[in-house]
Amino acid sequence: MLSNYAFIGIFAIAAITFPLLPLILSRFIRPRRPTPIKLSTYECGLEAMGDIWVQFKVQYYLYALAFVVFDIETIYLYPWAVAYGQLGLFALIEMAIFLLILVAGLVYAWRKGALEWI
Amino acid sequence: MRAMWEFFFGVGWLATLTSYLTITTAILVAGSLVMMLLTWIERRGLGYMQDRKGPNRVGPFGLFQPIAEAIKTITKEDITPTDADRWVHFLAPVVILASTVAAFAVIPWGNLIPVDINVGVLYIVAVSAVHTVGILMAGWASNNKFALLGGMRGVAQAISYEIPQVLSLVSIVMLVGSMSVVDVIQNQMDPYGNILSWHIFTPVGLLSFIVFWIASLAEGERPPFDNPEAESELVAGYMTEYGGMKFAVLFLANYLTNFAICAVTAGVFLGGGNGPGSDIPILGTLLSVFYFLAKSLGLFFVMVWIRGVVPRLRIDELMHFAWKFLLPLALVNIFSTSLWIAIIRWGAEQGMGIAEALGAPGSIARIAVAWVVTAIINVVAFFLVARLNATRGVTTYQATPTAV
Repeated sequence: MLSNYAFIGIFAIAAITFPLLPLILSRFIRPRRPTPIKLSTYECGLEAMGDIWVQFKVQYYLYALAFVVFDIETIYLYPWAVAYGQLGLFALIEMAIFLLILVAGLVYAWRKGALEWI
Repeated sequence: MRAMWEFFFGVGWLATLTSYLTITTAILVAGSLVMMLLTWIERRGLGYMQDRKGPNRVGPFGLFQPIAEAIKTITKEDITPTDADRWVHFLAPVVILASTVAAFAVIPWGNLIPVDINVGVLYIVAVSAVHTVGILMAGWASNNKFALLGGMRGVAQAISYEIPQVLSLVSIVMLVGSMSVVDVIQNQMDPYGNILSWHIFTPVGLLSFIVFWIASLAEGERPPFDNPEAESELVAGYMTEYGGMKFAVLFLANYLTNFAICAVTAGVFLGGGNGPGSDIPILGTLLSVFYFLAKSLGLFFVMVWIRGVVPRLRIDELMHFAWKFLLPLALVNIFSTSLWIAIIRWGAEQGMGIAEALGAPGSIARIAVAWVVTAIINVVAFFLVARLNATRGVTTYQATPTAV
């Protein structure tokens, strides 16, 4: 078991090296002739206008909050799902209640308009 | 403790390390080769769908086109805009590609299994979710309105579709009773090579597959869910300020994500490397790798096909689809999976004495009843949720002038 995670660790290091390698390698191959115009922001091809600190919709944050709620509930579902086959009717009813609470949360968010992209 | 001591200071650690490094290198090389093949399939496939030929000059059938492009991008000048945040701009492609590649540590290539950990399914989902951070980094560091907007959209989309994606996998974990990817594939193994043992051929598995596949398309930013890089409205989204090798790394990450999605879908729903003859000692391994690649590339072709025929979704439709359609369906599917298991597998011991009237656990009568019950629940839920989402007439999207 320990050696399995050792492999995961080695693989993670390799995964980080994998993109760095060509990025560093290309440093020695590619030309390097910067000019002020070349290094200006492209944006959409025209000269960039105004600040990038534009106002964002509040919906992004509402979705983020809903995401946190449901993601945590998912984490609780996984251990139950693994053990479910051996648990019995009690687990079924228990989890049906848990799912109903989840659905109630979803219905509340839906009715409140938290899921609307206005 | 002793195991740890032996692992670090025993005789075998060098051999173990060498074998791990060999496997890692093999996966990375194979992954890159498959990624090159995928870009070729995508461009040729789209070409023929649009009544043109696609790249066909470099090598036989244009197969060497990806190599030519790799050489092109590595010799291109790298531009970091003066307004950009240099380090974050540089690290964003690294984060995106590293998170994608890390998921390959537990994806089995047919019978060739890199590593089998007991939380494999959760590991894949968790590790590939890190790319959301990279998208926001890329969008923010570019210091450009469209890139930032693309990054914000990318994050909103990725987190929204992550929930139905993960919840649809809960059903499969319940069916298997384990989170190990190898167990998931073993569960679909039939000694006679019968494809009906695949998860997709049960009512619960089918709904799970539909939800997972659509959510994964959105996670991988495949059309019709490519709003974060919508080229007709956001230039190229969070990739706008990237050029040369950095863009190539983002591109590689994009296609490796697509391959990971296809590989996971093939493994979880279509039996992975299982097929006729895949359990023969040595030839079977080759056959299983072939089956695995055939299934994955077939699924990738479906992705290209979808890209060829479906127009991009509007951003509000995209978000509503995740929260108001896929999420309720995934929740219903968890419930019907629990009924499926209760009806087929449980006896008096688990409090399902009523099911004993249909015969012993796993009997034909029980499977038939479970089929009918779960199919009715899933179909009714599908139409009910579709009805809840139905709108009369044409809806128009009115953006407020200040917020985007």
